[in-house]
Amino acid sequence: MTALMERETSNSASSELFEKEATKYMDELFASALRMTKQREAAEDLLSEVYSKAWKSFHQFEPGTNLRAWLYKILTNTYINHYRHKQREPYMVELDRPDDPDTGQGGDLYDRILGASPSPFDNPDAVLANRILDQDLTKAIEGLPEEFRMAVLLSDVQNFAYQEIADILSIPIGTVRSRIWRGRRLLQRILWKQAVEAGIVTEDKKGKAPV
Amino acid sequence: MNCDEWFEKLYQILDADLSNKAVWKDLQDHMKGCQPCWDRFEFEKRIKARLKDSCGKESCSETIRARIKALFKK
Repeated sequence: MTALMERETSNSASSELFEKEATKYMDELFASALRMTKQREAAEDLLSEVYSKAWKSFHQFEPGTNLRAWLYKILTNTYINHYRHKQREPYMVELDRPDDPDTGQGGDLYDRILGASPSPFDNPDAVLANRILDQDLTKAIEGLPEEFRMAVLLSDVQNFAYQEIADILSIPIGTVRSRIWRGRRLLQRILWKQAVEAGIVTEDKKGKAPV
Repeated sequence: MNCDEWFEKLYQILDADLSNKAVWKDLQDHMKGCQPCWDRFEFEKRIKARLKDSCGKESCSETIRARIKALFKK
């Protein structure tokens, strides 16, 4: 009886600790969920499902290991299993098709701005700092094909190391490297396309990027 | 090390994904002596920072916060 009571006390203490620790990550998990589902309502449902699962299986969690990464693993798994199939969308850029059929190049933002702009005021850094808005970046990341979006999100937005991303997504670290590489290149191609569409830069290589 | 070789490993420097100190030093040395590669690195660093700022700052609503907190009472 005493042993049971002790166990109950210790369980309840650790569940309180778990609640306290796990809820710290609510906002950042929500931000990630939003970039995955692209819809606020779906992201909220996803988030509560994540916490519900985490709560049910928190006895499987080993104290001292990385709680944040564990929650992200639940998030990505839940998203992949329950949400992904509901919203297949055409990608904003095609993966291996070059943008420029003449050169065969799929120029990214940096190269394209450098190529288009003879003015030092329109260098890639200036365009990024002054003309590319936060919402452009959000839209671009949401336009990435999912496997690249997940890798870039975990790396650039949530600052996970490659090995942690490999564990979260259950893929080899070499795959993480190549997804981040291609994901970032694609992201820049999307940003370039958006910038052209918005009239921030001009596609004509001979022309000058508008001020 | 030439610029193409450097470019291939660009993200390994950016993300601190390099355990080989000699390679790390080669990459750093190339960058310090090559303005275009240096500029490229700075740009990639900035875009990474901008992504974090723009995509990472969201707050969930009080409704959902309460819904999740209620889960823990079950």
